[in-house]
Amino acid sequence: MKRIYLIILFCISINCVNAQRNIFNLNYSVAFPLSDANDFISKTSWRGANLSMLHYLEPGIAVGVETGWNAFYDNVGYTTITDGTQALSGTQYRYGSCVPVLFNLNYYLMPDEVINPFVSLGVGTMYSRSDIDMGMYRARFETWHFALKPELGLQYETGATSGINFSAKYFHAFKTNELKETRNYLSLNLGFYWKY
Amino acid sequence: MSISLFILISCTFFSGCYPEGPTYYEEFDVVYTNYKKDYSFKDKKLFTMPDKIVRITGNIGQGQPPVFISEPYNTQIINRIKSNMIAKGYTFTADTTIADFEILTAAIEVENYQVGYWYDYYYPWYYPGYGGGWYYPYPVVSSYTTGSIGINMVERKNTSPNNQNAVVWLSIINGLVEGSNIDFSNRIDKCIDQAYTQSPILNQ
Repeated sequence: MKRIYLIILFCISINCVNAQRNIFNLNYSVAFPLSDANDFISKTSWRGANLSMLHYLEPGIAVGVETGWNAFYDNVGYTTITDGTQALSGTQYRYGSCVPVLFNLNYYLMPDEVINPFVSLGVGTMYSRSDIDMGMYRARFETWHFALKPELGLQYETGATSGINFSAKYFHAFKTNELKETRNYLSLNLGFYWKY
Repeated sequence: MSISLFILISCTFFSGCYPEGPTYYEEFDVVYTNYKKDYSFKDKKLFTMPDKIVRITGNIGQGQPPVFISEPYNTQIINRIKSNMIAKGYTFTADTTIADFEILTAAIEVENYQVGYWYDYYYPWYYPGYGGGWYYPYPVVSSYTTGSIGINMVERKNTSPNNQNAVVWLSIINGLVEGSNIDFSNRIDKCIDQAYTQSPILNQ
């Protein structure tokens, strides 16, 4: 075990010698469903995380990829669904999962300061899964959306190569042929970054 | 240190917010209803029904007598259907020749089996010097019984050219056949009531 720590320390030291060209972000995420997603599940999601890896083109501009997961859940209670002459009643549970995969362009406003605000724009896709459980039956809707993500955030530098992130991301997942509903949500994210 | 803290915080949040599922048997109950489009139930008030509910077993041969569901559930279901029909404005008659509708009810039970695999873990201190690890997985079989009650409202007077009667309203009640007798009886009553509550088309 001691040997592993030494190897990690060695790798970190080598990276510290070079200028930090890349940044890795890992965040805990709380999400608030909006529009159609809010109609499906209105409860705040406390289960979520996201990570991103970006490469600095220059000190204030970085490009990279981002992914994550936000899980939504609601106990709708006993409900009756009607469709024409048909009606179905039961206790309804709803589950939703959103996994965005985006290409990001980040712009850092004050890259040399301890507090460094940034803006980001992400473009890519989002996998969404929406489950409705009633009795012993489940209706599942899965699809891949085209997705956009503007983000506003702050980096707080706590060390030479690391610090704390805080950001607000708005995910806009467009309607698809399979699901005629958007899966939009706002997420608040708190985590760490490491430059290497 | 920061990574350990992050993992600790994450585990706390994630375990505390794990989504719930059904907790009680009644949460598995569903009630489905459907009716014949454009059919008018108005001014057709007489209904009849047999005093036995057929139990569908799927293994009765040609010519063999049907199996009926046991008491007290048989009488309970029949009385509940009758009381709901009367509450909707219908009148029961034992004379099948004058009845506008006949209520035919059947029930089915299905045993479901699930096979899963369970893994046991042994900690390093169980066998000092060998570290932790997994035992070989072993199968675990669990079963549950589901039941359905089908209520069919058949029109008696207007038979088709091939002497068949149309089903003008139906309900299927489905749930777990589990729990105490009292709880099970209450669930049956509640589901039959719900079938009529969600069918305002039956109102006279």
